[in-house]
Amino acid sequence: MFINKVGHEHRETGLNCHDYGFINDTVKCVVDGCSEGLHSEIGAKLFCHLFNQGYSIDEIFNKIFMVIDNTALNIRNYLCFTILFIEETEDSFIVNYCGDGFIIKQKHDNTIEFDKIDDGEYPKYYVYNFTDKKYLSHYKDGVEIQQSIFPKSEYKAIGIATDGLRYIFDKEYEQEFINLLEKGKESAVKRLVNREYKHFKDDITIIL
Amino acid sequence: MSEELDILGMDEVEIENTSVDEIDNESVNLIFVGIDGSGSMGGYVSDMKKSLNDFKDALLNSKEVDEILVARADFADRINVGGYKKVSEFDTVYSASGMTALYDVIVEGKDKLTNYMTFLKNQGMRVKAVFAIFSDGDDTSSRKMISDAKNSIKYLNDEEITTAFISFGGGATNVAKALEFKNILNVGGSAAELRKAFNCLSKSVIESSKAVVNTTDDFFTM
Repeated sequence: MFINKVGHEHRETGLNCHDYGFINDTVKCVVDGCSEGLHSEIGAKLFCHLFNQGYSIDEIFNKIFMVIDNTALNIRNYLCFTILFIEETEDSFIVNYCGDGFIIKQKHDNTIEFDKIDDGEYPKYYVYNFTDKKYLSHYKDGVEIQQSIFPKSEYKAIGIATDGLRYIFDKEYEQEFINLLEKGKESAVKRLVNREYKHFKDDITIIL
Repeated sequence: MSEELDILGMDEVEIENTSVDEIDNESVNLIFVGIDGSGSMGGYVSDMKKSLNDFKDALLNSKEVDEILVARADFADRINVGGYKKVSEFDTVYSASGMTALYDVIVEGKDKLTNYMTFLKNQGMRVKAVFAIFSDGDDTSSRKMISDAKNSIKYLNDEEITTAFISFGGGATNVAKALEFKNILNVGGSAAELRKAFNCLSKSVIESSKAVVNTTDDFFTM
């Protein structure tokens, strides 16, 4: 299941969808560009394009800085985005993340639970590792990719989502949304987001 | 009481057409095909059956087939406007006799199309539509007036629904212009031209399904 929808406030203010993602044979990835950046989707999509080709995260940023100058303004406008990706081993799902979002845990009885990844007011953007420290008010010592591991003996599937998923909680359609996720009804989830578009203010990307 | 009626109405829309649960997509292209079954088409019954089969096969073999729902409407002395169904369910049976209730089929076809579109949009579907008529002649038996049919076409055009008319043999070209269809295809009155017309219609439907935004004019793809 891959869902990528632009948020209502992005539409109203004329911002592009800052979320992106991809699935290939070895990695599932979602990224969420900072909404304060004017063109965050550029960095987010470039990152996905290169990550999908197998480059490491540090290699990707070095490549990006070959076309986008490493200035504070460029970093703010183009390169602040969260990164969440899943890799699999024979017996576990490994979620890697830098920044906020959600982990979607589906047990073998198909029931779904959510873990919120929350950095508070300041999401951890990996680009801070390449940013001149004098421009940083937080994370001056850099940020790291963190990891959570989920055994396949306990979970049927593990998914990831950007923080736009927060707009399902405490809403009339919350249970309907979860039921559709549990049943793997991708088109129906997309229709629900379309139907309730005014509630989904932020971009949302889900991979399960 | 009115709420009950609304609920009944909505059920009817889903019963008559394809229910949302049966559509494994968030986008759909609704294709209305009105087919002239009047007596003047009597010499082309077998060619029409072949053309309808080819039309169906072309859509079935396209990548866009899962995004297409087709409603067939027949008009002669009376009209029969079917629901929007998957292409695999498209009926290719054809017979011809009687007169031409063109205006009636346009008015009822527009009403049913717009009702279903509204229903689907309320369910979160992204909906485009094509309203196509095939006819070889002017109206001869409708209860509705030409002004009613013209208002229906105007409504469809205003809603950016593609309106298309295939004039078989050229006899219906003037009425198609008077009704203000945005796309009018004139074909000759022969079996070969009939097949060409439906071949063009299937290509045009497939192309319109590929587009993100409805192409209200320049619909016919030769």
